[in-house]
Amino acid sequence: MIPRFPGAPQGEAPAEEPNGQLLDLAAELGFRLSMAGAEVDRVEESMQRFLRAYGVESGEVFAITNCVMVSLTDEAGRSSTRIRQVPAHGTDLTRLMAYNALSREVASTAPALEEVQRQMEELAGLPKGYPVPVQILGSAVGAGAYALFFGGSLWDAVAAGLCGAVVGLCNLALDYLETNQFIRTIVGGAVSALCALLLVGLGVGKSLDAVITGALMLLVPGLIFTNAMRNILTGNLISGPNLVLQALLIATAIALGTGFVLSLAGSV
Amino acid sequence: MFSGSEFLTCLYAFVGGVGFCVLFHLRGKEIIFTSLGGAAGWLAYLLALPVVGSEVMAYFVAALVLSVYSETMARVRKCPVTVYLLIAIFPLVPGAGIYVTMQHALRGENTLFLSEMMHTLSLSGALALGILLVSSAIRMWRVFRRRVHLNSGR
Repeated sequence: MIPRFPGAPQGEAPAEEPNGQLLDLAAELGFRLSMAGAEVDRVEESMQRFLRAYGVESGEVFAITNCVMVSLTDEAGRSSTRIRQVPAHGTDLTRLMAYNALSREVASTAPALEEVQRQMEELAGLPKGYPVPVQILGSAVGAGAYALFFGGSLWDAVAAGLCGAVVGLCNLALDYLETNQFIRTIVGGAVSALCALLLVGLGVGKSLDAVITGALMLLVPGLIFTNAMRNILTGNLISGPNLVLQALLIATAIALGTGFVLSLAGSV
Repeated sequence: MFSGSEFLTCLYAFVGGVGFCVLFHLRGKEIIFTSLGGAAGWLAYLLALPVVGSEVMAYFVAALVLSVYSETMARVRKCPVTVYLLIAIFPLVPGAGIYVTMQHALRGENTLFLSEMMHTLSLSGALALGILLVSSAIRMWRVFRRRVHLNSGR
C-alpha cells in the first residue's frame, strides 16, 4: 500500500478500485497546479494529459477556480471520482514551473505511478517561497517603482516604497491569521492610505496620489480582471464571471479601506 | 514627439516587474526575462499610442507584442507561458481603473462610475483579446502542422 498525500482522503483504497492511485495523482497534480496559481484551462489540460498518458480515454476532468475534479470509468463500468477543494491561495511561479515540468514529463514518458508519487512528494518539499524580509523588500520595490511609473518623483517613490513595505507586512500578517480576502484588502487599503498621508504630511513624498497609487498596485486586482476577460473570451463562462466578481469585490474593498481613511483625514 | 521621461517609465515598469516577481515567488534568470517583457509591452504601448490614436487600440497592440514575446521566450526558456504573461502584462493591467471605478460607485457618482467601468472593461478586453489571438494562432498552427504531418505519413 502506497501512503496517501496528507491532504488527500485517508484510508485504504477499496480493492475494487484499480485506478485509485492514478486518480489520486491526477487530482493531486490539478490541486497543486491550482494552488500555485495556474489558470483553470492549464489545470484541466494537465490533468487530462496525465490521464491520457496512462491510456485512460474515458476520464473526465473539470476545474474551476476553487475546485478540481477527476472522474473515470473502468472496464467494468464502475466510475470513481476525486474532488479536491482549492482554498484561497497566492501565486507561486516556482512551483507552477516545477509542476508544469513534471506534468510534461509524465505526459511524454508515462513513468510508473510510484515514480510520479515519489517526485510529487519531492516537489512538495520545495521551499515555501521567498523569506519574509525578501518579500517585504519586493513589495517596497514594486510599490516604489509604480509610484515613479505613475508620474511620482523620486521622493514619492521612497514614500510609496515605505507604504509598500508596510502593506506587504500587513498582508503577510493577515495571511498568517487566515483572514478572508475582503477584510485583508480593506485593511491593506486603509493602511496604505494612512501611511501615505503620514509620509506626505512629514514631507517625504509630495504627491499623495502617486504614493497611494504606487502602494495600491500591491492590492489591485488588475491581473484577476484581465484573466477573467481571457476566461470569458475562451468561453469559460463559469470561471470568467467568478473572477470578475472576485476582482470587483477586491476593488470595492480597496475603495472602502482608502475611502474610510481619506474621508476621516479630510474631516479632521 | 517623445520625451526621455516617457521612456523612463519602461525602466520603472522593469523594476516594478522585478518587485512583483518576488511576490509571485519566481526565481532565477526568469525574473530578468519576464520583467523585460513588461518593459517591452509598455514600450509597445507608448510607441503605438500616437500611431493608432486610441488608448484601447494601443493596449491591443501592446498585448499582441507582449504575448508574442511571452510565447517565444516560453519556448526558448522551456517555461510555461503563464509565467511570462503574468509578469509582462503587469504594467498594462487596469488595476487602478477598477479601483477608481469602485471608488465612484461608493461615492454614488453613477455617471463617472459607468464611464470608468466601460473604460476599464475595454482596456482589459483589448488585453485579453490580444493575448487570445496570439495563443489561438499558435494553437491553430500546431494543429495544422500535425494534420499535414499525419496526412503525409499515410
